[in-house]
Formats: sequence, C-alpha cells, structure tokens
Amino acid sequence: MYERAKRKQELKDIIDAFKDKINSSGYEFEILPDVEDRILNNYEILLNEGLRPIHVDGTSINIFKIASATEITVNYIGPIKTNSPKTTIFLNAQLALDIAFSLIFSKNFSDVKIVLTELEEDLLENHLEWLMYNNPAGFYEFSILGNASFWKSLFTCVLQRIENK
Amino acid sequence: MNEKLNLKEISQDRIAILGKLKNAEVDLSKHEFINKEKAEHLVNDVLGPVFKRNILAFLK
Repeated sequence: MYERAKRKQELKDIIDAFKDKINSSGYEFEILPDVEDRILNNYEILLNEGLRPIHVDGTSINIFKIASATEITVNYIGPIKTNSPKTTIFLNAQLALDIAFSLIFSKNFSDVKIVLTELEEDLLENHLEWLMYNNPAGFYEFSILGNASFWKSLFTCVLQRIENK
Repeated sequence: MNEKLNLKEISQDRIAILGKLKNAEVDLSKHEFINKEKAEHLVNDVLGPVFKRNILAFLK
C-alpha cells in the first residue's frame, strides 16, 4: 500500500543527502520548493493510472516498479535548476537515479555496506545516458516495467556478488 | 485524445487476455526501510564515486 507522508519523508532524506553531494562538488543550483510534493503529485498519476490498473486490486506493488516510476517522474519534472542546460539535465538525471537506487537498496539491504564494482558502475553510467538523452513529450512515454527490469537486474547482480563472497 | 490511452503499460486488450499482475511484496507503507543515515550512506558513500565518474563522462 502507499502512504504519502511516509514516502515524502523517504524522498526528503534522499534529496537532502543529494543536495549535500552537489554542494560538495561545487555546482551552483536551486531546487524547486516543495520538491517532495511535486514529485509525489506526478508519481501518483503513474501509480494510479499506470501501475495499479495492471495489478490485481490490493496488490503491494514491488519496490522495483515503485523506484522505476519515481525515477521517471523525477527525471521528467526536473526539480533542479542551474544556469547550464547540460548541468541541469545531468543533475536531474543523477538525482532520479540516486532516488531509485536508494529506495531499492535500502529496502533490500538493512546493514550491508555496499561497494559497487566497476562493471556495476558502468551499468549505472549507461542508465544515466538513457535518462539524459530521452526527451519525451510526457512521462507516459517511458516504460515503467522496462525500467523496473533494469533495476531488478542490477540489484540481482549486486546481491549475487555479495552472497557469493 | 484521452491521455490515459498513451500510457506505455496500459493495454486494455492485453489486460483482458492476460489478466492482472500480482506481486510478492511487503506492505511498504508499514515497512521502515530508509532513513537519513541510510540515505546518506547510499547517496554519498555508494553513489558518490558514480557521481564523480559521471561528471567526468558527461560534464567535463
């Protein structure tokens, strides 16, 4: 099920950490006020019109699809503004990626300290390319399920590597 | 045109043929899985190197 206040706090924790990361990198930026609400207002459209209608009523939709829809929403609305279009596109895509990654990995790893391999970082770089180079007329044009498959694949790679250590 | 019809995932024809999906997932509204500390670890420690690498790939 979905509880907006809880999800809003989860987003705030991730976005606050991301803002610290941008600040430490020296980029000047602004972020839209009420960013969590703006994200959730749009996310709920995808949830209610894209995900729930294809799931049995009452189903708890899995974290990969939730992260996928949230990532698509963030990348589409672009809450971060800078004075450079290139930097703006980059930072919004990276924020979207960080939110999806954090939702998935925090839900599935409670204590493990994760260090990504170079190949896993390669996958994330390719994923960022996809986010940055798409310029759709609307977020309806992304596939939530296709993107969820990417995230489940990456997560499975990391999980298997850690379990096989 | 009804914008809902443009959603990638929605094909009433396919839903009629295939039925609806089920998931095996906990109720995330009651499952505490992320907090400020975990977010800082994931965003800065785990994804910090990815961020720096992507800056070199796309902004430099």
